[in-house]
Amino acid sequence: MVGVSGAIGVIGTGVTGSRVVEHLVATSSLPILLHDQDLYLAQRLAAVHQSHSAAVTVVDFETVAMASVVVLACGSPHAPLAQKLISHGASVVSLSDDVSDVMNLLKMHDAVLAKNKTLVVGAAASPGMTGLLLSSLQSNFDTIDEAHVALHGTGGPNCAVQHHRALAGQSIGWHDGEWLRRPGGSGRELCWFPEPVGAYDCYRAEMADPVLLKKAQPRLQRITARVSANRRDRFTSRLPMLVPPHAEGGMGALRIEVRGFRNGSRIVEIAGVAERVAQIAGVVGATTALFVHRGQITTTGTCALGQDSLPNAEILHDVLTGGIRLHQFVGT
Amino acid sequence: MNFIRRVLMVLGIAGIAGALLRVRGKSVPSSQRGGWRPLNPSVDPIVDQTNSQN
Repeated sequence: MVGVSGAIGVIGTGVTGSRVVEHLVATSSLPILLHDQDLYLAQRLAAVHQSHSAAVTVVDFETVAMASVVVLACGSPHAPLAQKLISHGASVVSLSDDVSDVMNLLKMHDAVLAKNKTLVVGAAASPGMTGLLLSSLQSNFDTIDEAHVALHGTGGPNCAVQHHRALAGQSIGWHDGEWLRRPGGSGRELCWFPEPVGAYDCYRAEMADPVLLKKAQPRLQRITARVSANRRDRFTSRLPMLVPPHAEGGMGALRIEVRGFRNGSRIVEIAGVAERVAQIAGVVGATTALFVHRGQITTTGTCALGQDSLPNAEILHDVLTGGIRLHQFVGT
Repeated sequence: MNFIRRVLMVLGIAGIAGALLRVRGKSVPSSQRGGWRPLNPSVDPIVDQTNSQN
């Protein structure tokens, strides 16, 4: 049996979980403990990586909870799982993008702090990568006051269900000191994503980005989040999903537009990434877990990527060396 | 009975019109013109060359 306390655990071996494991195997020699309700899926993923001489083992929940860091890459809710893992003494990296789940995870701050552990909330693509990009763009400004996020595409089936639900829900946006709730599917905006994705109509949706970006950078005055959707998505958003989601969405993209002041002038900076959403989420989640494991994230309690107390530049650097291509929009 | 039927018809037509208006309409472009350039850190020599041309 591998040395459990020095291992990284991964709960959820679907599309995103498998990308997390792939990145961990590629960038470290740490033992990896897998757990999934679907034992066959977990064993198949472990078997794929056995040939790479990596110590990937399928274990039960009690054993995965003994790892130093556990990545939650399963479907939401993550809060009850995180609570159990923290009580067992593990730090947790959650890839949840569900608003209520994220709020419940953030509420665990005192409990996590009491255990002297770290709980990174929303370390995926959106949220997650958006926080890292916000932190990176921030260095181009004297002050920032607005951040606007747009996402195109979905990861695995759970992500597709979340996308469907988000369009039917209430979007949350931070606007001049108060949270504004608007119906999902409203506020159409044509957003340009890095090639090969291009332009897509994006709409307000129930996304966790504003909550986590506000936690990361409290000085922001306006934060919005939109998601791309076609007419069928919007028309059927309030109905149950009529067709089962794809095993994995196609090429996705995300962009963040940051506004603020430099030398007294109002400026706008836009950065984006075009890649499969599960790949972005997997690389960001795995990189964050490695940082927690190595002790490079010393913040205890709950935290969000992009907040000043985290080594965001180093995390982003490792994410980009993991194969994610960053682009900057040049124009008006 | 006729009154209820008319009310239901009006509500139905209004619902269809509302749904159509919701899914149609004009987009507000987030940006007018421009393009994307690679912004990766200097770990890849190909990206370095691309950046130096911009």
